[in-house]
Amino acid sequence: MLLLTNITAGYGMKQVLHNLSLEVSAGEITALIGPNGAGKSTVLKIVAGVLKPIAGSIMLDGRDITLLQTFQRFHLSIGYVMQNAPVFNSLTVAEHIRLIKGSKEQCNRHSALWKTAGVLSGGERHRLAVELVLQRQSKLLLLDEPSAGVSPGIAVEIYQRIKEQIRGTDTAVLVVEQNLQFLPDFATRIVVMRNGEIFKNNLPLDQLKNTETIFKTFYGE
Amino acid sequence: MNYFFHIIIMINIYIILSLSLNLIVGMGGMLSICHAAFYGIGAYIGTLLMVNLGWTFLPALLVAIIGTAILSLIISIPSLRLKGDYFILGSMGFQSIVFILLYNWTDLTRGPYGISGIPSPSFLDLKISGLPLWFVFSTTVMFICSMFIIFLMKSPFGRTLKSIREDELAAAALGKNIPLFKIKTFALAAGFAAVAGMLFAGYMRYIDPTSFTMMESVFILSMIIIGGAGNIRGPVIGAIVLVVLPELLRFLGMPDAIAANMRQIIYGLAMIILIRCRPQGLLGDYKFT
Repeated sequence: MLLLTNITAGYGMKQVLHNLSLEVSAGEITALIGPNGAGKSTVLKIVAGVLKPIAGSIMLDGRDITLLQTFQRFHLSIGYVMQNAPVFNSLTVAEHIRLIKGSKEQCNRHSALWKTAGVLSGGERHRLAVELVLQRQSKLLLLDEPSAGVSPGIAVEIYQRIKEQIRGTDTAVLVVEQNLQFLPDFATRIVVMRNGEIFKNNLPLDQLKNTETIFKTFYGE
Repeated sequence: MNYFFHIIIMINIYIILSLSLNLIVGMGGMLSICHAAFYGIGAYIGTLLMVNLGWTFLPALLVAIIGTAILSLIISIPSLRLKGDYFILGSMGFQSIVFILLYNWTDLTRGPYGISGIPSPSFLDLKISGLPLWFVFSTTVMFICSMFIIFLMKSPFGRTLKSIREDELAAAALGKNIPLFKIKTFALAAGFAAVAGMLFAGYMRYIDPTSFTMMESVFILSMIIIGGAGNIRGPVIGAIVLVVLPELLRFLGMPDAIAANMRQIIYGLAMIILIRCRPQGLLGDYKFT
C-alpha cells in the first residue's frame, strides 16, 4: 500500500530523516513513537506532500507519488490530520463539512453545526478537524498526534470515532502519538523512531504498558 | 440634482472596484495594491476598441473583461511564490509597470495626453448620455456586478477562498488546489475592475494614465480597510464613505487646493485610527493583523 524508500528530508539546512524506509500495508494501523525531534511528524509531512524529500521515493499502491502536490494526494485518498488540528475560524461547522465534496448530508453529526469554528472549544475544534478528514473514505489516514492538547476523555472519543470509521475497511493508518496509553487499543503495529531513523520496526504491543522501560530503552531518557 | 447623480455614479464605480478587490484581499487574504492597474487596463482595452476600431460598448466590454482577466495572470502566477510583504511589493511593482506602460506607450495610449472623445454606450436606439441615464445605467451595472460577487462569495468557491485565507496548508490537505484558486480569484477581480474601468471611460469620455496610479490603488484598498473586508457591506460602506467624505469638505468652504491635501490627511488619519482601534474596519469580518 505505502512504501517509503530511502527517504532523506529536512528543513532548510537541517536534515531530519536519514535514508528512512518504511512499508505500511492495507488495513494496518501503524503507530510511530519516539522522542521529540525523532522525525515522526516529518514522516507524515513527507507522505502528505507538505514537505518534499531531498532523496528517496514514495509509492502508494504501486504508483510513485513523490512529486505530487498535497491536494493531489488528497484526491488519491490520503487523509491528513495535521498537528494541532487546524480549522478555519470564520467558517461554520457546516461550511467546514461542505468544503469536502458530497458530504452535505452528513452535517448533522455535529450539534454545534452553525457555530463558527472560532468560538468552538479546543476539544470541539480537534474533533472537527478529525471529522473533516473522516468525511471521505481514505485509503491512507495520516494522524499527527490526535490526542495533543485535548483532555484524555476527548482523545479516547477521537480514537473511537476513527476506529468506528475504518472498521471493516482496508484503510491503512499511520499515526504519530506521544501519549502511549492510547495505542494498545488502537494500533496494530508499533514503530520506534530515533534521530531520523527507524530504531525498532515491530515493537510488541504489550511492551507499551511499561512506558518507563520504553522511555529508558528507546527514547534514551 | 446633477451633482447628486454624479456622486452616485462615482459611488457605483467604486463599489464595483472595492467589492472586486475584496475578493482578493478580504476573501483570499492577499493584500494587493494593484487594483487600479486592472481598472486602467480594462478602461484602455475597451476605449481603444471603441475609439480606434469603432466597436460598440458591449463587445468592447466583453473583450476588456477577458483581456484584463488574462493579463491578471502576469501578477497572479508569479505571486504564487510570494507571501506577505513580498506579495505586496510584487503587486506594487505590477502597478508601476502598468502605469509606466500607459504613460510611455504613446503610439497606443497617447500617453499623458490621454484619449478623448470616447463614445457613450448605446443599446439598440438608446444612447446613455446625460446624468440621469448614467445614474440608472451605472446603478444597474453595479447591482448586476454586486449580485454576481455575492453569489461567488456564498458559493463553494467563496468558502474555499476563506479557508485558503485562514490556513493554506490545511486547505491543501483537504484537497484544495491553492494556486488555481488564487489565479481564478485574480482573474475574476480583474474582470470586474475592467467593468468599472469601462464605466469610468464611458462616463468621463476621456481617460489618461493619472486616473490609474498607485494612489488610486491605495484609495481602493482604503475603502476595504476603512469599510471592512470579507463581506459585502464593508467594501460598500467604505466606497460610500470615501467618495462622500471629500465632497463634504466642499461644504466647509475650504479652498480646493487645501481641500485636496485635507482629503489625503483625513484618509491617513481614518486608516490609522481604524487599524489601531478596529482592525476589521467599520463593518468587516476579516481583521488586518
